[in-house]
Amino acid sequence: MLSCKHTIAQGTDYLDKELSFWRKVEMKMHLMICVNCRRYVKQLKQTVVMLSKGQFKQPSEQQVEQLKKEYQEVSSKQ
Amino acid sequence: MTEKALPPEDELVERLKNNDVVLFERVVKEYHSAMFGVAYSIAGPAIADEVVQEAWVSAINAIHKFEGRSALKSWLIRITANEAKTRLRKESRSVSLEAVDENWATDTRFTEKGHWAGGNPEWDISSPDDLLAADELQDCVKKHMVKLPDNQQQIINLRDVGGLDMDTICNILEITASNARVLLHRARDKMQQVVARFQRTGEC
Repeated sequence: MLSCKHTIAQGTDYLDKELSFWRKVEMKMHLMICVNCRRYVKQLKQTVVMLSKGQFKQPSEQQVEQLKKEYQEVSSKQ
Repeated sequence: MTEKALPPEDELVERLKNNDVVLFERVVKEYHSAMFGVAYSIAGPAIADEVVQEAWVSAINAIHKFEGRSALKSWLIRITANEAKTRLRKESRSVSLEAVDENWATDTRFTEKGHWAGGNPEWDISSPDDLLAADELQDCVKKHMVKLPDNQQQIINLRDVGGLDMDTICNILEITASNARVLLHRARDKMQQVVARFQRTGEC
């Protein structure tokens, strides 16, 4: 049986469907009986979704205005 | 998060090619953050802003040639990564894969036999939307993202923040798929721990 430590080390490959068939079976068996690892896999997924939607850095007004100007200049030449 | 979702990809690109400056502004505000994360992790904090600005200018000049073979966001992220790579930071805080293995032995979450030492509690804040709405938590995530070793920071920004596929990432970073997977997991695992600790203790 996989240890918890080895199970969570495969968390990313499990979520991204990169595990071989037998590794996946082994991992699923562990997850069936281990609530802590089950929670971990769920939390890892929540973390990934959070990162994909997060807004960590907004552009300054000045940057936006400068880019809009650039965009309009280039667009008008097309 | 923006108030309103962007139009579907086809319409989005078509309108951007046709001088829709209102939509362009929304696109800038939507994708700037992810582009900044990529620029920061590859080129370093000092010139990240500059790199993103240059990436936008390259994109503006190339948008009429964009054929939609990838999502617009992926295209922007690739342009940013390439722009950043040409200005790659000199001093590097990369941690070798061997050093990662050393952490394995000292991971205090687990007993010697590899069981959870103190269990793994459920999170109070658990849906991605609630996680995103918790400002202090987001500040904490942001703070720890930039503390990741360079190679982990690059890969988590390209993959999870930027949404690129692993093949593209391996090409950009010139690393093997198996190294990329190890680095991505170390980075995600670290961020899971940051969120878990914040939820347990309220501290960053």
